[in-house]
Amino acid sequence: MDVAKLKMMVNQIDQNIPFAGVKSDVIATHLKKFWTPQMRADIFKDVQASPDNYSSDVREAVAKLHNEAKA
Amino acid sequence: MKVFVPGDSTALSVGANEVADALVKAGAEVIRTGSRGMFWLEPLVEVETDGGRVGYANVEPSDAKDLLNGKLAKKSIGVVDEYDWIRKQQRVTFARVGIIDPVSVDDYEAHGGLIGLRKALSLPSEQIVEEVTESGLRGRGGAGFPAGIKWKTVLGASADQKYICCNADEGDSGTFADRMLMEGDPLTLVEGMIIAGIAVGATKGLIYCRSEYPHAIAVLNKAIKNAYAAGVLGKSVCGSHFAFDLEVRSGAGSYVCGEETAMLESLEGKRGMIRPKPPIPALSGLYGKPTVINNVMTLAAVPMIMANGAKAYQEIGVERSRGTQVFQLAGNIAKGGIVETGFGITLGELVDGFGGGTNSGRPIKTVQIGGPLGAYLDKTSWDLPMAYESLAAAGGMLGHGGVVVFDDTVNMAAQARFAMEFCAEESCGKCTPCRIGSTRGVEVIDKIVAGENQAENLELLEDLCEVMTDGSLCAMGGLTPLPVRSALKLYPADFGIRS
Amino acid sequence: MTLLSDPRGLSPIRDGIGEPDFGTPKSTSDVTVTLTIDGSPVSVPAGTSIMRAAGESGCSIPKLCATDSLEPFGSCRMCLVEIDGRKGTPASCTTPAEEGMVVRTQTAKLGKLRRNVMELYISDHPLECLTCAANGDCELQDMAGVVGLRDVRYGYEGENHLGAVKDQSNPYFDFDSSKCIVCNRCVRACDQIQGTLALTIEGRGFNSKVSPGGLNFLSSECVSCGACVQACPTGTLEEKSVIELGMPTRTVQTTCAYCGVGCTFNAELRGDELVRMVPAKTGGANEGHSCVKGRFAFGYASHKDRILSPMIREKITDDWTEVSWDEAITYAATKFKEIQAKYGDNSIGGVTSSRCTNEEIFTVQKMIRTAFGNNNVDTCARVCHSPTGFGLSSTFGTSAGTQDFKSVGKSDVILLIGANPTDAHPVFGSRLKRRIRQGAKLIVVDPRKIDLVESAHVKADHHLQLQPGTNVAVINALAHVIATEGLADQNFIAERCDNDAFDRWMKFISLPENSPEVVEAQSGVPAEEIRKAARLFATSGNGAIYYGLGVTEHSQGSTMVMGMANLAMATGNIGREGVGVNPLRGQNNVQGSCDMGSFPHELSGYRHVSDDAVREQFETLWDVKLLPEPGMRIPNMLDNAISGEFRGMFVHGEDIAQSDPNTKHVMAALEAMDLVVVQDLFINETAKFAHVFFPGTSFLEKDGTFTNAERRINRVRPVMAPKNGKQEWQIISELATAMGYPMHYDNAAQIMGEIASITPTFKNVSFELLDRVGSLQWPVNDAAPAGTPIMHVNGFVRGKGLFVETPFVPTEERANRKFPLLLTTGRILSQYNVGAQTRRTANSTWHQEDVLEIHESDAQMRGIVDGQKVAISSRIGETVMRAQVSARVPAGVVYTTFHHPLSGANVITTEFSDWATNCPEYKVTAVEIRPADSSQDSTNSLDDVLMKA
Repeated sequence: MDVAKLKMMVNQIDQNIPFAGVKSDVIATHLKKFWTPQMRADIFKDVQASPDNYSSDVREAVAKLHNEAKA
Repeated sequence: MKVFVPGDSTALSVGANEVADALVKAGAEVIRTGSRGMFWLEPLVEVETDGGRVGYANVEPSDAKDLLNGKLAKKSIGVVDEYDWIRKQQRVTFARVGIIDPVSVDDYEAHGGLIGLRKALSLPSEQIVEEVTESGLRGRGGAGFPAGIKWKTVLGASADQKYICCNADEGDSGTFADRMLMEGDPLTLVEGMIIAGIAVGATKGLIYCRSEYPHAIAVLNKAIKNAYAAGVLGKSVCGSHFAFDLEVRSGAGSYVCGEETAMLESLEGKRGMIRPKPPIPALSGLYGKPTVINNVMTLAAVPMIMANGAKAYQEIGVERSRGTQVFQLAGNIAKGGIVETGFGITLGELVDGFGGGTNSGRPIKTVQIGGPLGAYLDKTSWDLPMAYESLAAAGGMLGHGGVVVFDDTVNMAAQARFAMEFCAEESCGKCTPCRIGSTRGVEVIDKIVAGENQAENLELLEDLCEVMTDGSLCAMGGLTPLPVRSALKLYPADFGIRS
Repeated sequence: MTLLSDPRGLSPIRDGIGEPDFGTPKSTSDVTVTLTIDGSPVSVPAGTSIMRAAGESGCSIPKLCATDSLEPFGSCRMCLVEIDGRKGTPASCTTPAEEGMVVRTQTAKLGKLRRNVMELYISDHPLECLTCAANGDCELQDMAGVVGLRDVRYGYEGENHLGAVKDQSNPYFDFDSSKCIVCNRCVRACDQIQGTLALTIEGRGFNSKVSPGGLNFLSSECVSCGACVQACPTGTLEEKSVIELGMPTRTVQTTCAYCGVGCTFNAELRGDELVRMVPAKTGGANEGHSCVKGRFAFGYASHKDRILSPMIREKITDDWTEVSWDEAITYAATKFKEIQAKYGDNSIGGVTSSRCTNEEIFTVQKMIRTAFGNNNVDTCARVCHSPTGFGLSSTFGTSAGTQDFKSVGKSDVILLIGANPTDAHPVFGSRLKRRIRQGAKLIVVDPRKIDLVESAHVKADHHLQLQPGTNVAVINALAHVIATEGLADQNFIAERCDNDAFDRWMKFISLPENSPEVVEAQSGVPAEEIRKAARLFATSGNGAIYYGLGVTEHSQGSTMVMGMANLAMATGNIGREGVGVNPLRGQNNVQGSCDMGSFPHELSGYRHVSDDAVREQFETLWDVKLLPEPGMRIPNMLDNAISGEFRGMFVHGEDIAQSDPNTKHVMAALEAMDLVVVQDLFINETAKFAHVFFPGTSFLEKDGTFTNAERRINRVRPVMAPKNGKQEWQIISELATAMGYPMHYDNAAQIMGEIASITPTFKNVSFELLDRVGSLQWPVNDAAPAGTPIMHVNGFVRGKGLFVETPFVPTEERANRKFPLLLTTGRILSQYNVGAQTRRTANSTWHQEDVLEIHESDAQMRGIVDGQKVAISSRIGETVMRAQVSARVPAGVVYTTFHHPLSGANVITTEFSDWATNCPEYKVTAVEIRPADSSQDSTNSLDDVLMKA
């Protein structure tokens, strides 16, 4: 899948998602709920490759999902 | 010299403006008034004297100088108030018409105006309604429904807005009382409407005046403007906490808009069509709000009733017809005009006594009372007292009090046909008996007159009259058979019927 | 005399297929009055007319001008009765029943009156019953028989209207004034039911006649809703189809397949031929009303373009080959399996159709989850109302609107956002207009001046004419006023909502950035106007919010839905009649397609695939292992097709090539796939890229259910046998079976049985129950066996209502120097979506092409005149349309519809989408317009786009 698009999507979620509590948890839940495992894996790779393109919340969220998937 | 010249449409039609101009030019102080309602004397110019206003009949512009110089004795009728025709009347509603400057609030007040309103402002609503009920005042538009009862219904209805609507769509042939009051003493109507508003809790009034009365509309608007300026209308009526706004709406040339529900439709900007009742307008009237709808004559009687008390009004009249009635004499009549008198005067007194017989000098053949849909009466009814009950018993109706006289040259089959034709012309087109029946009525009468299957067509005409009377939605179709049947009954020969 | 020699009483045909008519509307009073009618006691609710009371008690009073869909009028005078103690013969239609009243409806006097009235009618009516199209369906004819009219003594030489000229201008019905009895039913229907007020009575007295105003019906304000035709008691207004085919002889009740209103119709047939569609008074959504589409535009079902045989081809450049069903199904199944074998299980997927029945949709998603073995299923709801599901489930707990349509009749103030119901949801639009004419207040939030802002007898109290893309800012500002001016419903909030969330929201919404004064600069809406509108909404009684795609099709669509939910909760406007948050859904079964588990992350009833307990139930029932992770959404599938990972797609009744954004991208994706299977009525734009074409069935052939925007499950009954030889769920079952997952149903009822067995909100739904009660609004279960017209009555489905902070994040699609105008899109009354159906009917009479509305100043600046062809370009693409200089759009905004493929509106729309659901941002595209140079800019056909791509 086109990583540029995933990047755009996750950053849009980061900008818009309403949250109460820990934002990275809320983002992680959203991605878990609506994204395919492949999309989550792809975005993880891109976050690893160019972390500067993402906010700390996104980075944390993606990392959490990655760890969860490994576990 | 102070000279009074009528500005009423009747007088204007025979040159009152030109007379007024000539008098001004000749140096007179001219005050324009309404008309006294003696049409055969118009223009009737009155000159103020110590002994009262002296009247000069049929004045022409060329008479101006003579009049001012006291050289017009040949046209003098003496002091107008003492003139027999006026003296024999009982003018209550028309007390100020022809006397005051119609649009002057000061003049109005100087002649007893606003007393009733001030009294009403000091009374609780229920008591005003009670007073009107006590007076026995009934709707002068024709139906004769007790005004007090109607007001009580509106008073009892709860709503964020209520209305007083004055029906001034005076469309009956031979009627002109509304117009003359609106042109001659509009503030009486204004006062009556404000009192009605106070009585029922309405803060908005509308006068629905037929468009054929441009002069009346102009006078009304001027009077209303002056009433606002004088604080009689507006946010604080005569300084009270009570508000009342009033405006004039022009009709659109439809006879049936004189029917109250069609009038409401027209006021709402819709096509003038009859609404079924119930709901009655008192509960669901203008824009669905509780609404008092009264005729000009009804509302104009109210200030006097409030000023002089219900009893004074109630004492006039006969049976359940109380107070005065403003009769309008018209048609082929020698002395046409306004005769305001207590109910109970006989037809003969009106037509021969006041009216002086026909204008043509020929014998009277018939009289139609209550407009184009009223019954025809002949000389056998001369002793009939003019009142709601007695007329109904004689198969007629008082209507708006118009009395139209015909001499012996009239053909009554043509008159009967005219009634159907009038209905066909003016029907709103809503209900079938009126919409189709009136046209068929003309055709059936033509067949009868032509002698075509006369017996069958007479039966058909009777069936048609029955279905129109019992089946029509409103009085328009319902009353059309009245003149037809009465003409047929009294003058069968005119229809070519051999008895 | 043909008319009268055979008095027939009530027509047998009418009795067979018509609905009973009680003459006046039902009274809703709780008080009962008892009166005596013809000697028998009758009890009815107070306010019931004598006519209706008599009718309900089985004694019918003759009538012509009365019909129970209209307020009584009292003109025909056929229904006169006698009442003890009352003068004369009052009309029973306009006289309410009163306690203790003694009424006689049949006396010699009344008989004579009625006969004499009828005699008058017939004296001005053509005597050609036997050749009249309405023969057998004419109330005048019936009543002449009932009253026993034998002779017209007036003769027929009198004045009459028999020579009146027919008006045949409307493509669907004729107006033959010579047969008119001036009952005003058509005029009243146009006023009261449709609310267009196109008809009037011209002239008066005998010359009174019905007039559409202007030259004829077609050139008038008439919107061809059919209400007048429906109301006409004679053959004066008659469907052309009845004139051509004859009076129908039987009826099948079914549901319209156009918009999300879901009107119930009686399909009336003569033999097996469909003659007309008549709106059913018993229809829960429409209660006897209809629009030009459902009423008349059904001809596409038998259009010559329809494909009736399965077809296959190796390459999309090949010609199609007609094959047997078996061959086509085997071909598709084999190819899908081959792809999966080569590229993995995840390399195929499919799309369900919101045009199809719940049963068809259910089988498609089931096929994908079982036979395809993945969750790569999505639905066209993705591109319209996916944010509704997300937003409302987050705040209230249910992915659906809160009210029934009837509820609007109890609303005191209506906030209408991004919806144009008089064009797109006309039958609901009429309800709304009726309520506004009764005095309810209206606030319109829309960049465009839609009809409801100002039209006959309707004027919005406020029109917040915002810049496209600033919905969230405006809804926040409205809420800000309510929060900061102390207008919130504290009791409701304390009792019904999550108070911690409310406190957080209060802090957020009270921030100065959400004040009308700040929002004015963003949205262009004057702050004072926002303040006034907010106060009006908060203080006028029942406040209801209705919205359309103007809310959802934005990059903040989901946020906006939550913003509206916040506003409704803050003002206590949830959980009773007259209030609520209500999506106006685009397609007939968008609600159903979402309910049925069409989204890649959810099983039916909105249950996430990761829920082990739920999945287990399905696995047991379906005897298959299901994946616990979400599958791909449509845009993911398309993106992956371009990158080569996704190779096969089953497209069920949706034309993604025309309806999805960025056409060039969609087409490239379709072209890249190894197998595209399209199941549809016509060779649509998507089918041009297909390798297998399965012919589908029209709604007239389907057996199943649709669920409308008010969660109402309506039956769709087959009016005729499937022209393609198979029900669509059969095709799906056979494809699944051919792929190795045995799937079989005997009938659609069985499928609904399966849905009910596994979906808690549908627990008690069955065809048998639906046939008995007409329709049901889910949830239908043991707690609500009769269904749920109003949601969240005693508490929110999620427990406590959840206020959600909704910061305004502007879209990145902005006007700039190169593309200085914002394009937004919408629908027109006579056409429907991509137009596949309506363009194949006479509806094209009214709308032959899409046009671009442009403000005068923008037009002048560019040297564009009204009617000129213009080129519209965005950073994505360019298309050509005719310009219409219009005061409906403000300067800086242009607008068009998307009903014609040639317009290529989606050639220029962008890839931006809702942050939560990827619903495309159709409503905002930055564009530039210039006069089209005829030598260069021809209108784009999609083929051209493809060539350039």
